Amino acid sequence: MPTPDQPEYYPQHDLLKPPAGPPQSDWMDTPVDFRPGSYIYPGKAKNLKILDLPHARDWSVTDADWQLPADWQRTVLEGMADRLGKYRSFQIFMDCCVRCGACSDKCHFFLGGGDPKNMPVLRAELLRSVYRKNFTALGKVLGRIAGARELTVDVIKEWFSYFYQCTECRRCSVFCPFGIDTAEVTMMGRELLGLLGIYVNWVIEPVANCFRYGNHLGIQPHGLRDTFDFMIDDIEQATGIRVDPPLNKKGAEILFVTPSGDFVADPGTYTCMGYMLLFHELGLDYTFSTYASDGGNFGLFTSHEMTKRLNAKIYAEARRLGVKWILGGECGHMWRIVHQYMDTMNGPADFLEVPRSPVTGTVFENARSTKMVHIMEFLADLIHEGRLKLDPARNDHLRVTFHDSCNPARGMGLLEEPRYVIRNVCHHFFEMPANTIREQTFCCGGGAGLGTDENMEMRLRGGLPRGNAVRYVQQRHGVNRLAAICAVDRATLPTVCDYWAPGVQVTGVTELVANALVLRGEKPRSTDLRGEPLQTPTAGESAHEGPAHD
Amino acid sequence: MALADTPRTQAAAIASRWLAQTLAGYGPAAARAFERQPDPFANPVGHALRTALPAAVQALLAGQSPQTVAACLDDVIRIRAVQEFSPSQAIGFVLQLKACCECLPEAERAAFCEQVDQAALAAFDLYAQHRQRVCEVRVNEARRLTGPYAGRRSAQSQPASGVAHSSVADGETSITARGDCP
Repeated sequence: MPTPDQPEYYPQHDLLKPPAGPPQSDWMDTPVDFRPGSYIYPGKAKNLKILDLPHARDWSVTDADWQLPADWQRTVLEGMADRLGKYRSFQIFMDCCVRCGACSDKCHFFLGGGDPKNMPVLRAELLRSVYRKNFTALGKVLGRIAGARELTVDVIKEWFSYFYQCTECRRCSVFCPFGIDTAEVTMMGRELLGLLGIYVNWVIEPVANCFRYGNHLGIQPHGLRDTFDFMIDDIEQATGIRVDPPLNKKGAEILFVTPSGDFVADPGTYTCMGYMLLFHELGLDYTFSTYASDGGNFGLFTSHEMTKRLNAKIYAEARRLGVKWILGGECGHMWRIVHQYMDTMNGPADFLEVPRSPVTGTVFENARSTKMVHIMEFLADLIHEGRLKLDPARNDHLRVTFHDSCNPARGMGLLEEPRYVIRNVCHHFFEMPANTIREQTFCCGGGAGLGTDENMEMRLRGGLPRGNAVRYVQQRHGVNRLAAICAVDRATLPTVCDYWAPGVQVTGVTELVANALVLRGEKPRSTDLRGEPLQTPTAGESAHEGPAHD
Repeated sequence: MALADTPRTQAAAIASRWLAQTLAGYGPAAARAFERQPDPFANPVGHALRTALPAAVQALLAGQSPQTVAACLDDVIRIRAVQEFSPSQAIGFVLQLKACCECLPEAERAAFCEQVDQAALAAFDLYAQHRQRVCEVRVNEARRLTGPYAGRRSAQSQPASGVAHSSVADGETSITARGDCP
């Protein structure tokens, strides 16, 4: 008989049973398990009331009773019928999936966590199964055999969990042989939840702020003015140049719209300073707006009606101020809206002119419809035409890689311009592995309203594929700076890097441009915009006459 | 035979069995995906498991310290610290190694299992560090997102800061929406 000091004493095979992992039951029989760190707080009643949204109430995800409105099933099914009739794409996406599995291992949340309901095919199936049961003959007759199921409270909870574990990044769509846009399935799922007053607060509060103040953060006009004053001081300290960014200037040639995250949060603030320096150096006739003070639009993560409501302010402000065209900053989903929805939602903007760079004379034919040009297109043109005096050595302390933000990359095909700009302002640029960039770029894990903090474990799981690629170039090439042209990236990727690739900081591309920009009348430069010492301090530039660097 | 003299084929067999058991803990769909895709960037979890587990077995058989063995597993533990595992599930995979050593001579197994126990304790230290790191990055993010300017703006223009924050008194409020971070 073994004694307690002998291993044989212990029933090894009992002790060593694999720890209870994920449930082994069929997905339809597996209710969602809300664990702290893996869900987002629900939308507060006060924010829904501001927006006149139905069924405003305060509730908690972990409550057994979500206080669903009476007749909630009919509300959802009528909402689904309405959308199936209105959006042909939704109908096709519900019908045409053959479950080939091409998308199954493409989602960053599945790759980071392994939950099968984060496979794009299965995430869409959460909705499709209810569609089959209620809108297809086969589903009505055969039920579960045909992949159909009833709409129950557990299904609603499941939708909430998994449609808010999708960043609508569309990576899965790149691999779908039928072109199913799973992001749009998520959008539909969220819209249906919205009919029951179910939102996440990190989306609906910014939407309520944006509706009242023009930006997600609720920065009021005097707050924005204060912020600009602080930035002006910081720019002067770093460069010796005192800029004077116009606000609400009527008759300006260009309205500049950028995400409000760049007004408040590091490191986006340095990108905003970069815009100010660049426009000052060019002598651009432009204006910021306190009303159109956010290019971002969390309406996109709420409903198509809300997207339209929030987006309308950009054209309205362009009309009020009497500008000729609109220049947009480094933002992510703003560009998906501009590129794919704005023109038909709130356009056509016939009152604006086709954008033409006042510096180079280039006409941006690609923006003929929306009248809105991306700052990377604008910058690439300036550099191509030799209108900027650049000293890339000022960025020699940085070893840079570039993260293609999902929406500019996959939503509008902006792949080359940022790379062209970076190569002209940095000596040390290194690409991440090919299957993690360009169209195949991995999401930051915090887009589409997931970038809050109570779901940190979820975000870090989703950020693993991106963080893994960043760590690779960090170890291989000594990369210490990750450039991105999206405000959500600049807010969330520092955290992803902090965990997966500590030591890598995040930057906007315009910040790199501003570092390299040789400014008329600048003082000797010993630091970059962040106050970090340059590898080789500069002697400064004497004031020179005429247009910049002719 | 000492553990250090374990033939390479046996070490590989132990690692292979351990990998299969660890993968099984993810459920069939994820296990298939993590096992199938060899590309380290398309499959970071599978790659971490495939590289870390054999390295840890080698370190263990070579008589390395528990800390060294656990360090071999650091990438895996960092991942499991943010996956949907309880702490015991997250580290339990280390103990499963004990069930994979049947190919060792019986005389060596007890020593091997003892080393695994020690390595599991060291692995738990790493796990705790990573969980601590999750808290830290969350706080760091809150600091970053509230500004350098939010504080300066508030100091200048109290009570109307110009930024509409959520009420701190609310129960479920994201840290980053509270506006009470430095």
